[in-house]
Amino acid sequence: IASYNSVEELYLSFTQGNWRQDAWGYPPTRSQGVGAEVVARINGTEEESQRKWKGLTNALSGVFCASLNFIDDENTSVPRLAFNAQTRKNGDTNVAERHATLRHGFLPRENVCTENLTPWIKQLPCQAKSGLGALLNPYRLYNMHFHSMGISLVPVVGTTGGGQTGLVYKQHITVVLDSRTFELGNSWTLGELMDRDIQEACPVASKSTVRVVIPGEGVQVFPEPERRESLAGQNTYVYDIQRQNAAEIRFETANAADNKEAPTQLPVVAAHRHVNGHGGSGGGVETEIINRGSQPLEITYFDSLPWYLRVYLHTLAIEAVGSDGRATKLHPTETMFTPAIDRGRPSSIELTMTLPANTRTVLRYSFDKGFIKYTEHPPDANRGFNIGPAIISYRSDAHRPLSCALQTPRPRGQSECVVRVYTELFLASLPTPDFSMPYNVITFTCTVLALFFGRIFNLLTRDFAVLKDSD
Amino acid sequence: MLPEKRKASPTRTTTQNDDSSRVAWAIALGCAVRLGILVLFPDIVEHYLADRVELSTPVTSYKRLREGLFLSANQIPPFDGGIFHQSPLLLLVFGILYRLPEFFTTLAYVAADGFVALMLARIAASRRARDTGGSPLVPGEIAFSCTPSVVAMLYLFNPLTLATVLVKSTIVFSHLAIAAALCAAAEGRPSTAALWTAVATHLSVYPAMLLAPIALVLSAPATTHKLPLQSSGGGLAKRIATTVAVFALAFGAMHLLFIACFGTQYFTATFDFVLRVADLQPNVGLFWYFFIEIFDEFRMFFFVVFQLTALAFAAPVAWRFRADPLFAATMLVGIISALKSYPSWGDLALFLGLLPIFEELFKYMQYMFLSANLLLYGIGLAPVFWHLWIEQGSGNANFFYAATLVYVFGQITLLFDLGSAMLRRELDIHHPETRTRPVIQE
Repeated sequence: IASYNSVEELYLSFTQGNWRQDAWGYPPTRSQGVGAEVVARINGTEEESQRKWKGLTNALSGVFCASLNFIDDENTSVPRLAFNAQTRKNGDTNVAERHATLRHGFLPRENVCTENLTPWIKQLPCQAKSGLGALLNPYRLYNMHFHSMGISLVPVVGTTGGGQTGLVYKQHITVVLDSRTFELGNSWTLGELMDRDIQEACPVASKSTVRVVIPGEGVQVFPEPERRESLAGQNTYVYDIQRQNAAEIRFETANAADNKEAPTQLPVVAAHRHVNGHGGSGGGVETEIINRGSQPLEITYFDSLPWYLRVYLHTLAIEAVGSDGRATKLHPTETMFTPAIDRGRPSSIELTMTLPANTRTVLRYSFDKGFIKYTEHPPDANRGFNIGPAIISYRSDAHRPLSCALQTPRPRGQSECVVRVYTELFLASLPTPDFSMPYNVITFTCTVLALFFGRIFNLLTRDFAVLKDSD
Repeated sequence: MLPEKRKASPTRTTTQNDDSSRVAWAIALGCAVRLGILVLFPDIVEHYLADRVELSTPVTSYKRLREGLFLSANQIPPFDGGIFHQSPLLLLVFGILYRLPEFFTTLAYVAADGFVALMLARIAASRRARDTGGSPLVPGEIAFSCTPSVVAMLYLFNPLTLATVLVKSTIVFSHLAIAAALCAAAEGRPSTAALWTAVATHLSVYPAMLLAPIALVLSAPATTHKLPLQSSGGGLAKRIATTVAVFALAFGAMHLLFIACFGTQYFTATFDFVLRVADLQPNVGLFWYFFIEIFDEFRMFFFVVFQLTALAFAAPVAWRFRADPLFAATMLVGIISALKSYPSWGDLALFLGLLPIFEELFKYMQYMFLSANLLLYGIGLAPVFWHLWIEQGSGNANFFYAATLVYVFGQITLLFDLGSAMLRRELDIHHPETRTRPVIQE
């Protein structure tokens, strides 16, 4: 699929649930926006890459049994600032300079379920028969606080002769499970948690490891690991599955009720977005970005709203509130606005700005709700439309965030990596017409028009004549 | 300021001078009121009036104009997106005003409105000048009594005009161009009139219809009883040709200028947009709900039908009322106001502003009470039903739609009434014996 559609880079993920930074810290995967997200860098001219994007989304839709074919022009945006940071410049500058467009499609209402998991498992070399794949039990996986699953195709310069660029295919799945949901008590094994057992390690795998990151003092892990590592500044036990059955790794917590430890690292940036305003005619979007660090941080903000929410870019206002409570206006260093085209493309706002240390920055802009055609309303019209999240990305030291520390293959000489924070979704309910009325509307309007036409026509074409008196 | 008349009597001049000073006072007072409200109470205006869909439409909204100005100031093509659909002429004019403080924009709008009132007063004055100096046209009629200052005041203090200026709807500039065109036509300057019509067509698409009566305008004040077109056949054709040529030239020149500045996108975003009703935001017209509810297969057919109904009456109305082209123009302004794709109360305001000039027709009109009531109901209930539908969510789109139906029907009744009143009056002028006899149409 990738070579047919000239894909240079691809990230696909399905996510359900919000990642609670305050409780769980940095996420181990790259994306956490609720719904389905496809990001691809496609080679070719503008028209070609548009065509191939459609081909790619349809093909992925078929492979993963998801309705990714609904990603069309109306919800695809072309970010220019937000995702470029991921370009690998491993000494080979050709990757960045070739004519390739990055496209971002998002379906906020897409649900994730076993239907999507099954093809994903089929992509694993041993599928669910042996190795870690055997632990993937959908009954447990979807009974969760957070679930994110996806694939990525990452271009890297090959290490085997020639220096050609190759694509590395990665699959990831992130799940946040609560052991109390399954009534496991204080001591439980991985096999009990997932209600599965591993018979043998995957014979096709060259390497099969389990890394257990120990969060703090309250948890003890048995048996002793093969070796210990330090991952993202935390103690990590590494187990080789070919020698140790993963299902028998046992976790013991001292106090079952005391599971609410704060993570050792709160992420540097937290972001929340909500919509304000009342009534059905308009509203405003307000995003709050918190910089917990003690240094100013440069971030990229990317927000994309569908065409039926008519964004007024001139109402954009950014304000930073420091710890002393004073508010100052913030000016972005770089902006890229793309206004929406009706039924053509969504509007997108991309900003690069520097957040002062220890501040809460609030970004506001207003929009008007558009009125859409009868047939464009979804079946449950009064629910409204889910609006995809805003994405804030920043560069971070490669050691602290877990997702950066886990990133393989590690790019050579790159000590920074990009961390992304996704905000929540919101619901925009557009004012609905009366759906029972098409015939009546046509009748009434045409009646009024006919009255107009008939009367004026009479006026214009008839002459007066005197009524004959009876005498 | 007033044109010279051939048969002026000394007493007339004094009265007219008094009247011209009264016009000046009326305009000054009107402008002062507008300026006062805009400067002293901008929050109230912003909160209650600025977002009303009855007053600002996607093609006249001030908020969208500011958005267009912002986009073009930031090197983003303003016509590339779905927000800005107003004329590039406004972008060019307001591009300068944008950099000055807000007060100058307010001043521009107030001045434009005052200018419209001035034009209306001049139209009334030139019409009166044309008609005086003879016996009343119909025996028993009081001499022509519509004074220019009354016309100006009725326009300026009409609540609809006031509301339109307060929300800074750009329809004010379209009215400016239309009023200037009609004034130039009434004072016998057809080329200037054609120029202003071209400007008006660029600002909102429909004033192109006004070219028909303007082309038929008289170049000299006529005596009252003869049908003026009988006087010079060849001259008439020449006049029509020059007027149309000037219009085409002016329109083409501006078109090329805008293409040079903004590219051909502007044409799709402005003219094409208005003609195919792309944005379905509710307004006080008939089109929005119709095009929301209709299925896609029939969309093209119906928008052709609707636009044709609006545009096709230009020539027939102008021809039927060729004895009084100003009246034909007024009828067309009324038709535009009722049937354009994005109407607002401001369009009705111009029509109502032109009506007092034809004061002699009021006694012939039979449905005044009905049309007044329909219009008042339509205007009064529309905001209420909008609130119920959108803000409160307890009402339905149908409520607002019903109010717009009543409003448009009121306008249509008014139009029909006016037209038949004029025809009856013409009959009375040419056949005075029928004045007291009932007549029918056949």
